[in-house]
Amino acid sequence: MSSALFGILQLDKGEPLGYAHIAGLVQNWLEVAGGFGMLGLVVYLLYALRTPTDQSQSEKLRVPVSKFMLTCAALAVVSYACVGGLFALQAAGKTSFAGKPLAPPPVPPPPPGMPIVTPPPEVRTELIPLAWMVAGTFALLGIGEPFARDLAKIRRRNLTLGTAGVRRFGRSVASYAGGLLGPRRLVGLGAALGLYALLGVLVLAFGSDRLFGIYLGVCIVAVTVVLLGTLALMLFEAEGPVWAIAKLSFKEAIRSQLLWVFLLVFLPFLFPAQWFKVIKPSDELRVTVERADLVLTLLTLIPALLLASFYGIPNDIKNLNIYTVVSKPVEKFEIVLGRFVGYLALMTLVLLGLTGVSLVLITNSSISQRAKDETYKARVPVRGTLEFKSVEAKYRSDKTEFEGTNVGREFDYRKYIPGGEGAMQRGIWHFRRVPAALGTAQDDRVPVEFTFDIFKLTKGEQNKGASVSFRFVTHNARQKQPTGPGTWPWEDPQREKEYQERVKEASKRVNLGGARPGTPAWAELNAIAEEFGCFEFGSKEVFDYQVMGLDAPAGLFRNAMKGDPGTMKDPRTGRDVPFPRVSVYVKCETPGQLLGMAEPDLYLLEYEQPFAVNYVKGMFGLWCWLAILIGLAVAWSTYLSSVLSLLVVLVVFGTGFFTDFINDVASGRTVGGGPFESMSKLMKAEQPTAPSADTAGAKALGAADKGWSWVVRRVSKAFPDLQSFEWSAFVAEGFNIDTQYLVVNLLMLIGYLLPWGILAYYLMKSREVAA
Amino acid sequence: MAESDVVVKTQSLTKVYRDFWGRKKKTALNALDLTIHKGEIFGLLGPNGSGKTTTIKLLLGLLFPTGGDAFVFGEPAAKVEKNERIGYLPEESYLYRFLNAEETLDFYGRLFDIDPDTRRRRAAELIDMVGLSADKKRILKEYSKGMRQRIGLAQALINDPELVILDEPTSGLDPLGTRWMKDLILDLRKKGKTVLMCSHRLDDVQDVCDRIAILYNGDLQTLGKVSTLLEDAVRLEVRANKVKESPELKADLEAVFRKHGGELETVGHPTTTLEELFLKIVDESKARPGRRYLPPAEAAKQ
Repeated sequence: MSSALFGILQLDKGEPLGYAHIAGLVQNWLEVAGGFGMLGLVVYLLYALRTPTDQSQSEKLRVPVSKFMLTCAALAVVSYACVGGLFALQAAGKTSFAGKPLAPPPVPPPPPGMPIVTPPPEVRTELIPLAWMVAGTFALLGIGEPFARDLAKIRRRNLTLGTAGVRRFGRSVASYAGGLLGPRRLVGLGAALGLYALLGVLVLAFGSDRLFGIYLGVCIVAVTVVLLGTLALMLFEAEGPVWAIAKLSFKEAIRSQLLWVFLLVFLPFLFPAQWFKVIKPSDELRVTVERADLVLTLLTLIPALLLASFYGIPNDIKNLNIYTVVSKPVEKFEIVLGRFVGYLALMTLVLLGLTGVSLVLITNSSISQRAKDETYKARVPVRGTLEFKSVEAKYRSDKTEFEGTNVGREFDYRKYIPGGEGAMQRGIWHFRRVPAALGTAQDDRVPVEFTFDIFKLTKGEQNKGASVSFRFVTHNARQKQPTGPGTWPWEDPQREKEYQERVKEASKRVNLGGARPGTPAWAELNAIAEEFGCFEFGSKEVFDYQVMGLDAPAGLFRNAMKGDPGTMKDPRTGRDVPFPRVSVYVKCETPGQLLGMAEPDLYLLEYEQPFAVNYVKGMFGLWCWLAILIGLAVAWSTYLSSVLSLLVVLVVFGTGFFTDFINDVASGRTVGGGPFESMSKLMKAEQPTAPSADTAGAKALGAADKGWSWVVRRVSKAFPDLQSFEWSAFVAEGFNIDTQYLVVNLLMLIGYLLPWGILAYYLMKSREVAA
Repeated sequence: MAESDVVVKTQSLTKVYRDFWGRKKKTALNALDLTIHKGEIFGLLGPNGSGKTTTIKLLLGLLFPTGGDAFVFGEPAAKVEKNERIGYLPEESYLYRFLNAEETLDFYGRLFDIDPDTRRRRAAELIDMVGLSADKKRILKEYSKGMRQRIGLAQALINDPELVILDEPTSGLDPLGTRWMKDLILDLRKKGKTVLMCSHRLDDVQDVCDRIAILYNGDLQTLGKVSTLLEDAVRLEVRANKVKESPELKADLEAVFRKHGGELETVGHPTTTLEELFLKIVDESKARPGRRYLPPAEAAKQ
């Protein structure tokens, strides 16, 4: 993926979800998981009706129906009835009830050519979402009650908090460690270490420094993984059945040899990409990181799927091992949890080891300076919003506001501004949030990075970029939309004049145009920017799709922090939003060139994090995938045979890669209509994109498609949104993965796995393992 | 017997197997009423498919009853806590074949939440008891069927259970192993344990069980003490020592029995069981290394 494509990805998906979205996510989860919970509750109560709980105490114990559960079910039914009533009101044309709005305002469609971005979740206080959330909460409480009760019991057996637990853990570890290091094992370990040390000596003597670096790195990773593995086994030693089964799964997987075969087959592909083929210098790191990510994904997901589907519970049931486990004082869900924990722990270790090894290889490989400059970092960007402007609409020939030129490129989200000295078109980035740290940036400079697309109208000169000028202004130096040719004026002409005089005066003393951080000219530039809130960068030669940068004086941001910027109307939503503290006006100076830009293309650089830390953080997404995959496989294997479980997991997990498409189908946004309309067009050999005729048949098909969309909307939530956990593009492009994104990822993971866990609980509980 | 002495109780316990669509396939167990008391060895007998194993699975909660109920130690069969007092040896030794004997017992010990030191001690004792000390580091995959049955028994005893449920305990064992198993079952009774075993090897059941239930096609056909059930009240057995069989003896005996209103059926030397013969020969072989079979003529010469 090039930086351009990364920009498109950002534009498509919007910023990843952070802490601000957690409340909205929880509300959303209660609605969705509650819907599935209600379905489960109905099925469970029907099952309980069929079970002879009145004749058998065993069955009563196995299929409990408490008053709490019945009350929750009744309340959920009432709440869902309210939702239905509110929908009926909405269908009747009402927009509010008892003075409260019924539903959130519809999201305005994006401008033509722009992607449909799903708005981030936020807490909705309108009546329908509220009633839906309440209904979902009751349904979840009802269906979750036996699960929670048994889980509390399992917790008591498997997790002793407090000093008693610590003492017990200590005893277990001591006992385990005592038995672990027998004389034969010590000799074996010593021999292995000796051999590895000998290899190290040989590498040091005959190999290069880089090779020795790899040797040392791999050594450190291996020792870390072995120590962590031992620690995991010791932890599993501590308490009850869940850990015992986890340890069993761990050992089973290790001794099955499946893992080792995969490791041996795929490991060579971890080596840097340029060892295999010639890559553009600037893309060396990108390609290497993406390849490593792919190899790690294959190396961990496939064995995890096979282990959890084939070696876990289905294998126990097939080989009847489960007889000897279930006949012990073990809750069936403890088997599910144990399997999940064991496989996840093992695959976590594998992922950790592979991440370490790939990182050692990447950091020790010969990567070009260009690639390092572009991507061997973890930028923490401050992003703004982009708008296009030119002279006021009434002074333009078409009497409309300039919204960027569309050059007709397919799949290109960028809009363009024409170049030329007298060009009045600007791409303007507004930064409403300006971190205070920018005002105190090191060397009084704030890096600004950008990647533009150049669309040439004339052939121009070879290997020559386009000249672009930048004007940075704060809310204290507001600009006015021009009415005719010339330059963009300030709102306060007197202040503009003072600024220009000051610049002129300073230019006599120092060379402001060539000011570099650390020079007197830079100090002068900072002083002017801090005083007037304006900084201009005359001409920067930019190249097509290349990450480039310039330094802005920190003084500008000190000025931006002064005063209250007030509010303004957001031209997109019409809502009041804070006036931007800093705006960057971009102008293309080269005639005959069009400069293409999209919102993620320019950003302020708050600071940079080390690449290695970002690389490890990026693997958290893969770990979440692993947890989802293992969770799904273990959940389904409670009821299905190994092959069926594998197939179902492949479908559910695999569909998770296409959530965008599923969402399009669910929202009826697919080109050519839904499946019924498309099928009709296909059979009649009609154009897929042509609108359907206004006939009764077409209307019936449209209604069927709407019904289908409704079903897909409900079912689609059962598929994991895997793209939300995908961070490899951030790492490959050198953008920092904020910790809050990972925290939200973790919450999403728990939110996704919990309903599957409840399903697995009921499936396992209702399964006759000896039938 | 006091109610507190009841270890297993079933009330109209019924199990009907159904297909995916809920259609009845087979009634595996039909309204079984059974009570097993503390300290007895109870045998479930019946041909294949009679419902023996189904009964055991219902008691352990591996299957759910279609009707009726089952209680173990007064607790419903579905309650997992009752399993703390039960040891179970399945028909085949369904153990994890990638574990060795020590690891197997350690794993099952942990399922009972036995503390590490006790676990290790008990595992060592049991491995010794079942005669697998020399093979304790080998994974179970390498074990013979008899060895797996032995380690299976060890796992069933890891929690020092009050009720031991043995499903075909002598399956796969050689006569020596069978005898060892039967001795062990008797030993368990001596220790106050209750044993429920099912088998279709009638001689095994006869040798060790106090009471038996015979099932056929899911129905309980008979239930009672072995000695009572096997007693032939019509016939009389007289055994004598140091008497040679002869026509005169036979005539005298006929006269005696006629005098008491009966009639003589047979007079002859009793035979031992094949098991007794086998064990005797093995014991002799152990005592006299190099012993081998000789035809009667050669044996007479020696």
